[in-house]
Amino acid sequence: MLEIKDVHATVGGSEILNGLSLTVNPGEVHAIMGPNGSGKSTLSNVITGRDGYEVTQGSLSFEGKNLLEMPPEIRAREGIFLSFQYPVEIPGVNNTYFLKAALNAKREHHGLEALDAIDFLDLAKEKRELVELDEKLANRNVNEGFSGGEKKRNEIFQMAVLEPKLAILDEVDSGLDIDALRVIAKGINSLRSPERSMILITHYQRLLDYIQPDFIHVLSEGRIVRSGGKELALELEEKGYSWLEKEPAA
Amino acid sequence: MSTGNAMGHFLNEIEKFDDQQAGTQPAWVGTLREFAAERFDQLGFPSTKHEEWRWTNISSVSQGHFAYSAQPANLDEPEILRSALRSALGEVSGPRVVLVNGSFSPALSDLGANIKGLRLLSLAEALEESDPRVEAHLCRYANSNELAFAALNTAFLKDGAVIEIDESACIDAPICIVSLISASKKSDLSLASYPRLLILAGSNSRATVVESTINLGEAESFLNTVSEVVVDEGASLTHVRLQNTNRQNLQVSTLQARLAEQSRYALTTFSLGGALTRNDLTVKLAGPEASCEVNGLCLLQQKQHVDNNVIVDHAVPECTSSQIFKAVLDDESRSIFSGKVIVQPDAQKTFAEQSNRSLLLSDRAESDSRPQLEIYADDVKCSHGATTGSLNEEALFYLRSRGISPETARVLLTEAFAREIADNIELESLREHVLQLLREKLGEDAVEAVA
Ligand SMILES: Nc1ncnc2c1ncn2[C@@H]1O[C@H](COP(=O)(O)OP(=O)(O)OP(=O)(O)O)[C@@H](O)[C@H]1O
Ligand SMILES: [Mg+2]
Repeated sequence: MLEIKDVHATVGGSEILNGLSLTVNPGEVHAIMGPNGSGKSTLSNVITGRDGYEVTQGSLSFEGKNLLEMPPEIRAREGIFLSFQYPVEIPGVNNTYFLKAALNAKREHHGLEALDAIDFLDLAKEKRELVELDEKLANRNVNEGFSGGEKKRNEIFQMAVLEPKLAILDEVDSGLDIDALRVIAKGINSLRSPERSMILITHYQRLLDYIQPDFIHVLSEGRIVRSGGKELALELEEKGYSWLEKEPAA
Repeated sequence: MSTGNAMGHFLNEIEKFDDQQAGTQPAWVGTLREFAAERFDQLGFPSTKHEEWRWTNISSVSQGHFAYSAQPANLDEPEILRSALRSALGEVSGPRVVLVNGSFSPALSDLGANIKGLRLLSLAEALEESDPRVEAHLCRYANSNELAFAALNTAFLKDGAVIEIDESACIDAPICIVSLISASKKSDLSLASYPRLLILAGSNSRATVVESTINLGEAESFLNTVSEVVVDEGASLTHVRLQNTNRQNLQVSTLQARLAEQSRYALTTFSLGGALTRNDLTVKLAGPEASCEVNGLCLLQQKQHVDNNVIVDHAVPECTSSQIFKAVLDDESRSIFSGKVIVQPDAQKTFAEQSNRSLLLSDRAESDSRPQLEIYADDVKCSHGATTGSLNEEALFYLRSRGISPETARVLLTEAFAREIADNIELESLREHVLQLLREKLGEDAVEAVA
C-alpha cells in the first residue's frame, strides 16, 4: 500500500531524512519510535506532502501511484490521513462545516455524490460517539480553545469521518489522561480493518498495549535503525535508544 | 497645472445645475448651494500634498468628465431596477428610499407610511416643504467650509433621503436607503451623482439603517455623497453601509455624526466594490456617556483602492469609542486606514480603542495604517494596534491535508478573517446578505485561481 524507498528529505536546507525505507501493507499497523528530533514528524509531513519538505532522493508510492506527483489534498482524497502532533487552531472556521467540505471533496474525487447536511450530521453524530467527543466541541471552530486532549480527540473524530486507507497518528497519545487514552485507543481499534493501515508514532509502550502493532521501527537520525515485533518496544522501554544508534541500518 | 481646467469643468457643471434649479427650490436652499459652490471654488480639489490626502490621488475624479444627469437611464426598465434592488438588499426588507443616480424614485420606494414614529421621505420633498427639522439640521454638520467634497456635494443639493425617527420610537424593520447608479452607455460623459442623507434619531429612539450602493452595468461614474447623522439623548442607532459599486466607480463619501448624551451609534462600512473609494467618517461625541463603534471591512482585488479616514472626537467626559477596521487585500489592491482620536481637554474618563488588521493575499497588495491620538485630557484610556499578515500556512496545510483544495482553503481562512465584522451585525437577514456578498467576492477569486 505504502512503499517508501531510500528517501532523503530536506527541511529548510538541512537533510532530516537520509535513506529511509518502509513498506506498509494493507491492514498492517506499524509503530515508529525514536528519540526527539529523529525525524518522525518529518516523515509524516513528507508522506502527506507538506510544503517546504523536499524529497531529494528516493521514491514514495501509495497503491502504486507516485506520491511525489500529488499535492497534499489529492493524497488526502486518495486515502492518506495525518493526525497531527500539534493540531493547529483555526479561528473562524467551523469544525463541522470544514469536515463536511473535506468529506465531500473526497467523495467527489471518487465519483460519489456529495452528502447533504442531514446525512452528514447523522454520520458525524455516529463518529463523534465513537471517540466520545462532545457535540459542542465538534461544532466549534477548528481546535480553537481546545485542550491538548480535546484536540487529539478531534483528530480521531476526523479520521473516523474521513475513513482513510492509511492513517498516520503522530503522538496521538501525548497530552491524554489515562481515561482519554483508553477511549481514543478504543476508537482507533474500532477503525482497524484488513484494508486500513496505520502508522503509529509514539514514545510510549503504553499506547502499544492498547493498540497492538504488527511491526515496530526505530528511527534515528533520519533512518530506520531497527525493526522488529512487539517485543522490541519492551526492550526499548528497558534500555532506551542509545544502544541502537551505533548499529548499522536495519 | 491642469487643476484649473478640472475646476473649470466642475464649476461649469455647478453653473448649469444652478440654472436648472432656478425658482424651483426655497431661497434658503439656494443660499446653501451658493455658499458651498463658492467654497468649493476656493478650496479646489485636494492634492496628495494635503496630509489628509497623502495616500489617495483623486486626479481620476478631478480630471474626469463627469456630468450631473437629471435624467437617469433605465428608469423605463422596471424589471432591471427591481432585480438591482434584490442584489442591493438580498432578503433584507423594510421601508426604503430608492435613489436612482441620486434622484428619488417613487416607483421603487416604499416609505413605510404606516410605521409609527418614522418619517421617511425624499430630500427633494423635504426641501420643497421646508420641513423645519430638516432646515434646522441640514448642512450643520458636514463641513462645507473646509471639506472640498462636502462643498461639491452641497453645491448640487437637491435630492437624497431623510430619515426622521420620533422620540422614543422603536423601529424594528431596517430602514433601507438604496442608491442605484445607472449610467447610460451612449453618453460620452460619465455620470456624476450627489445624493445626500440626513438621519435624525429622536431621543430614546432605536433603529437600524442600511445603505446599499450598486451600479447597473459597467459604465464609469462618480459618486459624491454626504450623510449627516444626529443621534439625540439616549437613542441607539445602528448604521450599516454596503459599498458594492462596479470597478469603474469613483466614490468620495463624507459622513458626520453627532451624538448626544447617553446615545449609541454603531457604524459599519463594507467596502467591496469601486475603483477608488474615499470615506471621511467623523463622529463627534458631544454628550456625556455617549458611545460609538466605527467599524469597517474592505475586501479588495485588482487595483481597487479604499481610503478610510476616521475621526472620533471626544468632546465631553465619559464617552466610549471603538474602531475596528479590517482589510483583505488581493492582487495590487490597497487600503489606507487613518484613525484619529481627539480627546478634548474636558473629556476626562474617555475610553477609546482602535484596531486595524490587514490580511495580504498577494505580495503586491499594500496596506497603510495611520493611527493618530490627540489627547488633551489626562484621565483617559486609549489603545490602538495595527497588524498586517498573510494567511496562516499551517492552517492552510491542515485544511489541505484533509482533502480541501487550496482555493477553498484560502476562501475559508479569508472568510474567517473577514467575518468578524459581519458577525457583529445583529439583524440576521442583513448579516446573511453581507456574508453572501463576501463569499461571492471571495468565490470569484477561487474560480479565477482554478481557471
Ligand atoms: N522547518 C525546519 N527547518 C529546519 N529544521 C527543521 C524544520 N522542521 C524540523 N526541523 C528539524 O528536523 C529534525 C526532525 O524533526 P521532527 O519534528 O521530524 O522530529 P521528531 O522525531 O518528530 O521529534 P519529536 O519526538 O520531538 O516529535 C529536528 O532536528 C528539527 O529541529
Ligand atoms: Mg514529532
